[in-house]
Amino acid sequence: MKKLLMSIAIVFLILSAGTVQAAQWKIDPAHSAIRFDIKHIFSIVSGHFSEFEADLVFDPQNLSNARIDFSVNVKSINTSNGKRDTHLRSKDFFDADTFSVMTFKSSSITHVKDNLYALEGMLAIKDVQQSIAIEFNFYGPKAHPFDKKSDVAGFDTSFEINRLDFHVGDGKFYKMGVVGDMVMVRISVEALTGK
Amino acid sequence: MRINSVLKIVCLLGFVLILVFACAIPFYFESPSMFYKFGTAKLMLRSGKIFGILAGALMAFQAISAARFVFLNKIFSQAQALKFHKINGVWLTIFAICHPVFILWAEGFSFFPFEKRYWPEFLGMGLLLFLTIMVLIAFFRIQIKIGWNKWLVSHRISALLVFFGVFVHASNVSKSFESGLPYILLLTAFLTAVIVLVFKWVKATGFIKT
Repeated sequence: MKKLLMSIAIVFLILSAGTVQAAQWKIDPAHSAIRFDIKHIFSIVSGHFSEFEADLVFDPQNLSNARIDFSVNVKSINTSNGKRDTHLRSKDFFDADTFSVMTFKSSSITHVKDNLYALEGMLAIKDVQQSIAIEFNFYGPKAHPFDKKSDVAGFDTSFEINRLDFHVGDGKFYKMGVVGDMVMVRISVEALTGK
Repeated sequence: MRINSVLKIVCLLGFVLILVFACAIPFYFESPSMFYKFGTAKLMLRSGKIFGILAGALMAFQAISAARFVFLNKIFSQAQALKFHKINGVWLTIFAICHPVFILWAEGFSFFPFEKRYWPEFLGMGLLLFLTIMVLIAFFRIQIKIGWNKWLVSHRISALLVFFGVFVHASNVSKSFESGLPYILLLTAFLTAVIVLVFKWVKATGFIKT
């Protein structure tokens, strides 16, 4: 009897661990990116943040426990121009020495249709925290073609934010018609989980 | 004697003119980084660039004063040339220290992340450290007990390394020196300094008599 109870407990533990594991996703940094586009006079300047972390707990069948949290190292900004990036890290824009991390913390995730989900949460950039609502696509999961031990899933989204709402710049360059106020953010993530 | 005084004045005027021209480079060949700075930040950035260019120009004069050309020896005594070399060395080091301080000041002392793409900036920081140590050793050679011959050889090799490093740093760190007249002037100053130093060393071996 004791052995039977023990066996049931072990099976239960394995199964529950499996459930948690299935929902917890680990970012594949080589195939994930946080990119942005912003207008400079007439052209579009693109850049990305090369260092970020995410806490992805997502199971389409169980959205009540889902969370998508991001933290981005501001100093890792890269627009393929070292001088410009130094300027972007300075007090004129991000003030990266004082505000070194940007975060997004989800508060609710709901299914919209097909692969589309709605995400609400708090975006914190510099000294501003603002609630935002965005939509994202979830792809998969499916067995990873190269890694038989893992499943792979995709998340992607794009949305616009006004950098001036987050005190990224005081509007001086915007008023001069040099740097736009709206920033298009494009996030594309490939994430893995153990089978 | 009178001709000598006139030549001295001509040499000093030439020296001042070259420095004034060097200071004018950040005004006439503005790099794009200057466009985005205003008020104090712009003043600091431009001053930082001027300090860097002044340090580079004075370095070229270090090579000339060290070469002890016969025609210069006729105008200035060896003691005067040595005094100039020492004072010039101190000033160029002060300007070299001011160079990154003012540039970082313009960016609110926001330091560069340790990334490969900032190698010209880090090369500059390395050069500044090397140069400061080189100048300190030159001034305190006796106190730290380094023999004259050993010091002279190391000083000459260090000078060549610094010239090469400054050329690489300047031609990669600033848009102003990437091409055009400023690049030609930088290359000319670098080659002049190297040729002068190499000429002096060959002369010291006795192959060339002047």
